[in-house]
Amino acid sequence: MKSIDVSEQVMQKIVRFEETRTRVWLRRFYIFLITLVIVLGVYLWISWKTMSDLHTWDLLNLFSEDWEIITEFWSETIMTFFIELPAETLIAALVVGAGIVGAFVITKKRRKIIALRRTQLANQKIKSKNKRV
Amino acid sequence: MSDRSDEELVRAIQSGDIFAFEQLVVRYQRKLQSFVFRMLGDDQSAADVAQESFINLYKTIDRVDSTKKFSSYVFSIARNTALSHIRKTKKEISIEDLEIAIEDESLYQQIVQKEDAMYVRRAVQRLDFKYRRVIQLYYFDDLSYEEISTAMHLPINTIRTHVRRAKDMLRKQLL
Repeated sequence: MKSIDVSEQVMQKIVRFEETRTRVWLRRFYIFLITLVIVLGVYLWISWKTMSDLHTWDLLNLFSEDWEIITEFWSETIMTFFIELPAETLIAALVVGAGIVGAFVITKKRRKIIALRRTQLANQKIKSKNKRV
Repeated sequence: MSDRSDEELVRAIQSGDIFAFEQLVVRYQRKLQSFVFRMLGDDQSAADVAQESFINLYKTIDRVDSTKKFSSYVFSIARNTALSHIRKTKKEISIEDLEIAIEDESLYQQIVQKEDAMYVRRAVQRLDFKYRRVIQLYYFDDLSYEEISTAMHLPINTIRTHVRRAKDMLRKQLL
């Protein structure tokens, strides 16, 4: 039986497989992240718009008044401010924000592995280019 | 050729080092091709199946427990890949080929047993001298407790304790 050296063909196929796999993973990760960021942006924009329509921001003008007025009315103003906050959309924004942070935390190990693979694939491409030149 | 063990290479690959896999390929390709050649009968098919086995191995490498024996896993993938190849090419199996396939099953078992035995010997080598000596005399040289007690000038109960402790340590290493 004649043994044939298959290591080069195997590694070429594995490099192609890894290029596809890392590209797909990164694409899915970025799409997921961008979607969450957009949803977060939408919730924050809705919250801001609601507060603008209710003139909730105007309550904060108290803090540009004299110190005596601030000390007299600050607690009432703060209470009113929080009552007027759009709780549902802000909570939803918080959940989405937590999702973004969670996505980074959960994928930390995986991203490290992907980064190492990408570095190796990039170095491999440079090596092949130099060989051809 | 790398001095890294199979377990170290598997861990490196699982951590993202793609080219550590090349060292495993170089290490196993001859053995794998010989093994598969007996099932398929020609060099080129054996090389093709060996290639495919390595690709399948790489795709499932994240599931490999790096503390367990890697070589058995490699041969089991090669065997399954060879069987798929035979099914795909839809070769008619003659009685002679069937006999070879049945013989290959025992060859596969022999290879796995040989790898098992090497793994056990390596585990025994890692024991402390007093436990290693007792295990060698008891299991490999087939001496009784009394004979070992005489050979090592130790009380028989001490020999029994050494054997029991050595077995516990081996169990922890091998499982």
